[in-house]
Amino acid sequence: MHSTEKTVLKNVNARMTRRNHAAWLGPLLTLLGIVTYFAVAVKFPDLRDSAIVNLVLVAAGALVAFWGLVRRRNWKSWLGFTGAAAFAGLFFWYIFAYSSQLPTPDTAPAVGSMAPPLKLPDETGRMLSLDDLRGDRVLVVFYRGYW
Amino acid sequence: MSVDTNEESSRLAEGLGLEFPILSDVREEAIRAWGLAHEGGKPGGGAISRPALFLVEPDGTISWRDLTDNYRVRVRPEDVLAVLAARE
Repeated sequence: MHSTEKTVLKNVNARMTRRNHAAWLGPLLTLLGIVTYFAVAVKFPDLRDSAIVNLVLVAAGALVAFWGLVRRRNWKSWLGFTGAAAFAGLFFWYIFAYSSQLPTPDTAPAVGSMAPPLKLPDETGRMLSLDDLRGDRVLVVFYRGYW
Repeated sequence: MSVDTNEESSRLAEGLGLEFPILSDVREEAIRAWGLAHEGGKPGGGAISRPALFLVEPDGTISWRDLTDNYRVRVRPEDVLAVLAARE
């Protein structure tokens, strides 16, 4: 009798733990928000610049995980909440702080000044100089690169 | 232009079907001469360029530039085209 009660309790406990989907849905939603930022949003300037859709997804994931923790405190819900909160913290830090950590462009040539020399090999190895293009209007684009 | 190698730039040009030259500044000379070096921006410690655009007139003067203060947020192609169209 005693052991049957124990088994029943164990089953009930297991079912309740299983039902606490928030513990894994939270971090999953947070990860989804981060992955889709770099995989999808960066291709659309409006979604990329504000990152609003992804910030909402990531914040929602952290909230869901928190709700899971409020509902039931066990190692799964703690793990889910800690994971979601860590992912969310990293993403918010990247969006609001890290990506604007650039050196001040004090020495970059100003409008009205002469363009500094630029003589470099192109993608085929052929040397190209800005001086060779005198007489044409030239758009010079510097980008971070793919390394 | 970037600090990527010719091979990397070549792959990029091919992949995107680019028809303008892509310069390779592996020795980080141009990014320093233009005051754009982002020291330690590359994993491993090398410098990379901060994103920047300059419009150089036929006489060599700079008539427009864009220096974003957040590398996620870049000038949009249509805005650059409008700048160019205004000077045609």
